[in-house]
Amino acid sequence: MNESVEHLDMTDPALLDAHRAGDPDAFGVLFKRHRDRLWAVALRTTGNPEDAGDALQEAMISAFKRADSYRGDALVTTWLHRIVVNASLDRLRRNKVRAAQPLPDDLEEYTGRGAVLATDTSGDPEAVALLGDRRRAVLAALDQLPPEQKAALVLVDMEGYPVAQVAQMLDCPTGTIKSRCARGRARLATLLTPVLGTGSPPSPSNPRPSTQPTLGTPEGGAPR
Amino acid sequence: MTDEADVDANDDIARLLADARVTDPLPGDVADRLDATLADLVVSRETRVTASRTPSNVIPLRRRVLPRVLVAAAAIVVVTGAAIAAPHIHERNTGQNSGAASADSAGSGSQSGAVPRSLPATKGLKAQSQHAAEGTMPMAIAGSLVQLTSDHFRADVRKLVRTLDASARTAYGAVGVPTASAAPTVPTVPTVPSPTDDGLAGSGGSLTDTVKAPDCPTPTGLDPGAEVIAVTVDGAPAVLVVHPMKDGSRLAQAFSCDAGAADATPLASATVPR
Repeated sequence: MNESVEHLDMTDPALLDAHRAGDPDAFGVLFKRHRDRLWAVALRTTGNPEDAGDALQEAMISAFKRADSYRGDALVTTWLHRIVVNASLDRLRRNKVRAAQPLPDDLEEYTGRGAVLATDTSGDPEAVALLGDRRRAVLAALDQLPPEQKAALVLVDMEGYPVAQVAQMLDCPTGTIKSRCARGRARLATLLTPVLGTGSPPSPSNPRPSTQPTLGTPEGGAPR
Repeated sequence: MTDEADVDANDDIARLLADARVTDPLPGDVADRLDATLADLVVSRETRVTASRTPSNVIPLRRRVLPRVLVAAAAIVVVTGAAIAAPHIHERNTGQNSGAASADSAGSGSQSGAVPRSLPATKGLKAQSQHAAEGTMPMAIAGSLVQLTSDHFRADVRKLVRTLDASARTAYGAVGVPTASAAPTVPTVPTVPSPTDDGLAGSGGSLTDTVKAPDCPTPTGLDPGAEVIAVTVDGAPAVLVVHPMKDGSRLAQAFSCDAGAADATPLASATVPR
């Protein structure tokens, strides 16, 4: 791939236009610019690196060939995410016959350890290990959700995208995204009760609409 | 309090999810696979673009060859038909064919073909090769034009006229599409319509309605029943006018296409007895 300085300075829409005009390097620069985050979405949506890699590859091929389908009414990243999420969901649905991944056997142990959230684990090997265990538990619970709820939570709560942008990615109204997120969180709260250490899970009828302020901006800033 | 508890629980779930976010970059093996796939896509697109830039007037090989093959096949059919007919002309002319008289009697008014139905094609071909070997081929037939020579004009014309008499009168244009059985052994351009001419009485055409020989002016002032045939004389394009039967013979005159006028002096002429 011949990435020139000129390419690196180009905006996403300019790169996509260049690709459509026949520039052989433009799409590569564009995709490389976002592929880490696209990978993250694919990995969390599919739940395993093999499917995530395949989904990302399918999405890249689709985006390369269907660049003309981008109308400019959304961000290029939104368009790319939409393709990746769709590819991931397709793969997820195809794999639905697969046995559901069980929750960790030692989930009950988290109850005794208390709800340790967002803890600074630097210099504390035990805390690091605990955080790792908790992540695995969260991911296992996430895999129990229906694909649409899972995708909404991955994009909103994990990746920190605004609900409106996720609505564009998933091609549905913002209200639907909010609803999916609320139902998904309620379900996760039930599944992760031992981890949360709380007595009662939140009610789906009264979810918090958005958690954006606590997750950072979607424009590259790492979620908090 | 329940609402506050729900909000807290939602916040907790959101924090858990955020903590579970993938922060590692794309794995190297996946990145390599994507790069390879992308390289293939680029090459594939370049190839497609190159192909689509091929000039639109370049016709695929099959489309270029097929018409030529069809034309060649049609030419073979025509030449073969003519070759089958030509020996028959010679045979009749030399009196070897006992059916010649009856064919002649069908004469000018007949629509029968030049090759008698009883004459197998293989016999015709054999006769042709025999005549060719003996150097007695009555006339050369190349393409659709009858080739005449000034040295043997009378003999060639006599054979031609007899062939005409035995052949279908396949006139261009005014008469319509030749019948399948009437192989175009001799390209006759048009007969001047005559009420007495049984063969063309129904054509309803006139001299001006008939199709002229290619690139040749049709002589004017011809008698009704005259036939105009596209020929070459010593290799030069010409028209042969075969006048109606008169006193037991027909006058044939060849006019050069270069002369371009009805008043032109004939290149050659001959009177052909019945």
